Amino acid sequence: MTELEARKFADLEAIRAPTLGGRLARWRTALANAWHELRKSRTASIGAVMLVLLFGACIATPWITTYDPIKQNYRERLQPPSEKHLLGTDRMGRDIYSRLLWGGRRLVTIAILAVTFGLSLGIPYGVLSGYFGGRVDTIAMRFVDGLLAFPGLLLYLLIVTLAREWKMEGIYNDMVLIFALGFAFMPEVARLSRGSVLVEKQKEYVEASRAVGDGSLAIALRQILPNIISPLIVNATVRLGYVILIVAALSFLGLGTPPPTPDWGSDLAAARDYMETAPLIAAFPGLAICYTVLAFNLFGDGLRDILDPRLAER
Amino acid sequence: MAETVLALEDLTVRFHLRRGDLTAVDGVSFSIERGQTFGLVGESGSGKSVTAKAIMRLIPDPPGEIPRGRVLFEGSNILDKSDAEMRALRGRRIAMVFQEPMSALNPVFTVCDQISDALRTNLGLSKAEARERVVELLSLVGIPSPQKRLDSYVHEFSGGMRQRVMLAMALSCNPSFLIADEPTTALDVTIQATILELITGMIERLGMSLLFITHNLGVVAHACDRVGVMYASHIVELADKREIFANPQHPYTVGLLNSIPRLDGQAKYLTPIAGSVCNMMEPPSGCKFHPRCVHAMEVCRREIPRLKEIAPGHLAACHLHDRRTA
Amino acid sequence: MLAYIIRRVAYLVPVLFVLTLVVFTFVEMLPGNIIDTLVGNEGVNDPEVRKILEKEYGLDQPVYIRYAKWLFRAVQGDFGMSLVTRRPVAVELLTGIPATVYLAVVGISLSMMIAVPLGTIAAVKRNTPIDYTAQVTSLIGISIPEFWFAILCVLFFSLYLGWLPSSGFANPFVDPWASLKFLILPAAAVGFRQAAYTTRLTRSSMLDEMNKEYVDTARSVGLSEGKVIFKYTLRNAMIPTITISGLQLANLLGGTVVLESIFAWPGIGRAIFEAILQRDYPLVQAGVLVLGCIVVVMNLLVDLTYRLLNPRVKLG
Repeated sequence: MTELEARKFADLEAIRAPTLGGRLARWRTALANAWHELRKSRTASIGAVMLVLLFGACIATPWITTYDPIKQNYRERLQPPSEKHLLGTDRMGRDIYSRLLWGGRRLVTIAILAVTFGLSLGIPYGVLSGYFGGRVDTIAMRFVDGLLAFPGLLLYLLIVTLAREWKMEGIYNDMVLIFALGFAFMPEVARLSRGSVLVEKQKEYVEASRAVGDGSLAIALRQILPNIISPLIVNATVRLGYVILIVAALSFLGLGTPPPTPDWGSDLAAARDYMETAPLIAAFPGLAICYTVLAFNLFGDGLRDILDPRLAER
Repeated sequence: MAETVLALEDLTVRFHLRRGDLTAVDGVSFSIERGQTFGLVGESGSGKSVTAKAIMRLIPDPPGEIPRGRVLFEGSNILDKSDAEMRALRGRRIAMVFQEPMSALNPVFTVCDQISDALRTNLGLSKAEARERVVELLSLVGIPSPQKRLDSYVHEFSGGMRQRVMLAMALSCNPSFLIADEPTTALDVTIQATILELITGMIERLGMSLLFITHNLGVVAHACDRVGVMYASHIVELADKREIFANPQHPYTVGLLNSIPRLDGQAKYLTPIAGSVCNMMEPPSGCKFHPRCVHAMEVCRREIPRLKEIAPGHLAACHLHDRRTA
Repeated sequence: MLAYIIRRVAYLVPVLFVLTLVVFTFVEMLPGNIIDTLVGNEGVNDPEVRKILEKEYGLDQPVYIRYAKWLFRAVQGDFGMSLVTRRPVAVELLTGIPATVYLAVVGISLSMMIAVPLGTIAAVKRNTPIDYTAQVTSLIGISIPEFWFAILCVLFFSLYLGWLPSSGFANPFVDPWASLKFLILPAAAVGFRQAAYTTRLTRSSMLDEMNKEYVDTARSVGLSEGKVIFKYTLRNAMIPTITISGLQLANLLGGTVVLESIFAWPGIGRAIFEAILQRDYPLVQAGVLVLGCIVVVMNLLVDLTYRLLNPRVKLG
């Protein structure tokens, strides 16, 4: 071995050494790589900027709104955008700008909670189902397939109707929405997680000749998690946008958010009656939904391009 | 006097990737005569497949680019031809056999469909005529009961059979030049020999010239007349087969030959070439082989050695020979 | 092949079971008396009648007997009476389903006619302005809420330009021209989002296939570029596109609720929605059940079609 090579090997060993300094160094390079990749992908960057603006607006809402979103003011109904009311007023004289902000804050919060709920249900479900295999797996997956059989909004309609019948108001209504949305996301998450587990299990059989013993579940989890993280992150991001569409649709039908709580969907529904006289009222909530879903989609797309190893260079 | 069928002059192929630019083929020059079998040898990533695709003009134009060089086929530069002219050449005069027949043939169409498409496009045969010709071709390449296999799909054949189908497709329009890109690599060892025999047999029978690309020196020894060794986008040695095996002049070629296990028990240990192939995105300065070369000198780190004739018909690109020719 | 079909059908049974279970549980979990829920308040003040009904619906028996009775009836098409129209629910379903299918099929066909060529061109002319335009438009397309798009369409084409009616329906077999006029906006609304999605799908499938080696082989034999793209690559890329579109169609059958409301389209989606508002739960229950079953069956058909199209998995 030449001296050059000996030095190279020494460097490699140093990096691999489990010192804190070594580990931090590796983390920093990994993050630096991720940041670099993010900036290079145009879709991810634009999406990220849009999301930052969105989250910023949601967090800053209490400080940047101008009016109480549910305060009615019949003297100033249906006004076009002006200095006083940035985006105009709706049929009850409520300031549209403030309504959009508060509505957005609520919707984004619901979306995040719902998707998180779905992930926390789906990942253990899928992982355990795949890990145990056999009949447990078969039954578990059939159940998930059964849930997936409900087309479109139907499952949500059922759950929301139940909530309505049981007169669940206010925060309970929101919780029901979160539950319904998360519950409907669960099958997709479970499927993805289970798939990764199955792939890893194959490898485990190869390792079977070595006594694995205790901690095999921990080892398996450590191997599985990196595999599922990428597709799940992309999926969850896109799902956030989709969830907002669903809530808006439900509210549009009158089954989601009860008035007078600000909600983009119900605002759109209300605006229908005034389309001839004040069409702008319908424009803004729609644009808000569009912007939000687009932001999540862009970012999700960009993430998918970055995380996908089979990046076609050609 | 033998006539030159294919001549590459300073061919360079560059790819513009997200991570940077990659020069896959750099200044490659060699020539093939009519009826000759030329073996292009090198490791994965040395640029040999890209060279083959460049000859067929199958390099996608972004991100690939051919900034310089000429490819003279039967006298005229392929790189200057229009798309239509190129299409007329492909299949009719030049054909190619690819490495992995499972992915190189369309899984959704039958064997007969794919081959007759080629026949009907190039030779203008009717559907029925094409069908008959496909039967002939399949039996030519040694596929049993070709009539019955006409309407089979690619995945219904075994590995060796699939490669025969590929060969049948390539030969279907009687090209005069065949490029075979690692045709035996994906096959079982026992089948490899059969396919090799088949190809060399066909070449001889039909009087074709062959560019044979491989990383397997044993195959080269068996089938080729002239050999070019590629390393990291350059041709490092070029000579007749006998010369190269008897008298290798480039350290890489020497290393390759030394690393082959020998049955005559002369060596107790295998001597691999130290190190690993360089990173083509950030290649070493000067001679790309120098980090692995036991004879590396100062000049090797500075200058890329040019391909020079060190004996009649035997060229090598190494600074070791500078002093000798100087 | 037959063995595979049988296996697949057998697989359906537990899925359908879960489906029926969920729907049944839904009604069971409604507050109040089941009889009132299923039969409505008016007819059951007489305790005698009530007792008979209780027996019939199995209220005196455990849950699973009730479930079995309900299921037994449902399979025969007896879903009870609509609380609103006082007609058998089955009749309501039968009038609603064709309308929804009509809308869904036209919407998806339109979307495919636009999306497949667009996606293919975008893939072939990758990274050119055409590609970017296609990508941007389709991305925006999947981000626009359908109902908003529908409202905008109505605003523009109906209120502003006055070319098309803003809502309504006409039977195509009775009056094809009028039917067409009523169909355009809803179908466009349905098709728009689908088209955006399918364009993206086609584009990525084509890109996947175009990278494959057999494309080079086809070129190496001298086939024209047009043939290489349209005969070889597209055929392969269509397989995932068609199968996913089939699944989309199935999903669409239940997803038209909102659009049907906006356009007053007398489909099953609207029927279920109005039933919810009017507390006509027998109809809701039956509607969801039937739609779910249709989806499951369609998934099966799509799976079989996929196997037909992709010879590699023909023998299952």
